[in-house]
Amino acid sequence: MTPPMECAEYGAWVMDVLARVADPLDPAALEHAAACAACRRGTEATKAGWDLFADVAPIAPPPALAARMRETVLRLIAEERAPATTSRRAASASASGRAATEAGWGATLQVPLAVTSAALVTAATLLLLSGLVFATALPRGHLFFCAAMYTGLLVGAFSWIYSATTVHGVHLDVAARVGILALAITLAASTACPELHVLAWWDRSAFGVFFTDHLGRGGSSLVFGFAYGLFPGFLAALFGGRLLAERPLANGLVAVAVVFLLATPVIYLQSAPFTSGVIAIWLAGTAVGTMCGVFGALRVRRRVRFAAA
Amino acid sequence: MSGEETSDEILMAAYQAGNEAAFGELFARYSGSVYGFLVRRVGDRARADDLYQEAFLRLHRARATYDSRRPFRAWLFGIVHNLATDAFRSRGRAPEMAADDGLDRAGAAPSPERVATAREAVADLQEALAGLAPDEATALILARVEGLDYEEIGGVLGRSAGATKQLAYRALKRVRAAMAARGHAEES
Repeated sequence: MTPPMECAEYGAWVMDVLARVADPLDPAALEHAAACAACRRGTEATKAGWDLFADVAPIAPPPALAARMRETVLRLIAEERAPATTSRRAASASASGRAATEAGWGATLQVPLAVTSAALVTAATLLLLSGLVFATALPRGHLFFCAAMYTGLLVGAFSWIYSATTVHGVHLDVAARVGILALAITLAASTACPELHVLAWWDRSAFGVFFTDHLGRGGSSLVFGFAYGLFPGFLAALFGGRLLAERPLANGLVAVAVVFLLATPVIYLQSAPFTSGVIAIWLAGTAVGTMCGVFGALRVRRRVRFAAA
Repeated sequence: MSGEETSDEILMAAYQAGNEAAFGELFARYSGSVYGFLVRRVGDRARADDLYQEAFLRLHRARATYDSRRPFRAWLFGIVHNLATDAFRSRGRAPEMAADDGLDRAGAAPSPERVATAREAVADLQEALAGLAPDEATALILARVEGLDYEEIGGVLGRSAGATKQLAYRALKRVRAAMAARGHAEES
């Protein structure tokens, strides 16, 4: 003998009957309905509710919207396949006919190899310049220290670019490209600056004087740092930020980190005439500006892609 | 006959590997369902347009996380349901229910009176759906309109199939009561 049906089970049975996957003459259910007036009423209401949807027609997306969306995703797939193809080709050339599993090992080792090579080059440069780094008066020590950092970072960044490394949807290669672009913009702007020290130039400019008067020296440095990170980060991510739309937070943060790391030596190189506090504020402003710039550019890219697609 | 069509799960595995044709086929199968679901959940076309685009971008971004042992439809509508729910939450209000009935595409030409009555009924049904909790509305739309079974809908909502049936049962009763309050006859 089967146990009596509960109201909750009865409701589930009604839904199965409406979906035509249960026996409408189930004795246990009929017995429950006979004894439960609430469920009898519920059955009628449910059946009527179910029938309300009978005339609901399909709603298709506007053809232009659907075509645009389809093309957008197909383009993303094609864009993502391009660097992967390059990576496979490089692995294939270096392995000259090895099995696909070995190419997988190569891909796995790309990131550690790139980071290790960067660290080794940095260490080697520091060793070559040993004695000049930590015990030397500014600005010579700064210069060598920055040269070492630059060398290592650039080697690491270019390793990523040429190995076209993507890990779990995080495009390190694209982040490196954005970083190099931002560095190029920063260096171009610094070179175009009429003074050797850009912060000193800023402090004497009308804007610098204005912000120093209103926010103090630290506030002025913060504003300068913000702009110093904002514009290169924005422009580099705008023109080099392809593929960052996938996993936008992770990819954006990695790009921000690379841009900031590459900007840091430039700032440090120029730090000689300033106090540590001013430089720290400049760096903080640059970090925030870089983040705003890169994520702002990704947002613009996304909107433009929707509009253009 | 051309034989059985390729399963969604196999197509999704190919899409994960970068196969454009596989995505194209999945898109052809589910573009309309996703859009229809969103229109019914959010009630106006403009917001549905935005969410539709965001849904396929999210699908694309999340494709690496798809486990081919899971039913594809449950995974897809899980993304879309979360998107619609997040959209409401971020706006902090219930959906706006503009009548959107699909009657423009509804087969042979009925009389103007019948079209007007049907439009009114569908608009009221939209209103009734808007009065449901998000999970209830999703369960009803997926079960009754999109044809998902309760195992799949349970996968979308993170509930057991039995609990999903009971949810849909209560939701149908509430929809019926709301429609009755709007003057729709019992036999509607």
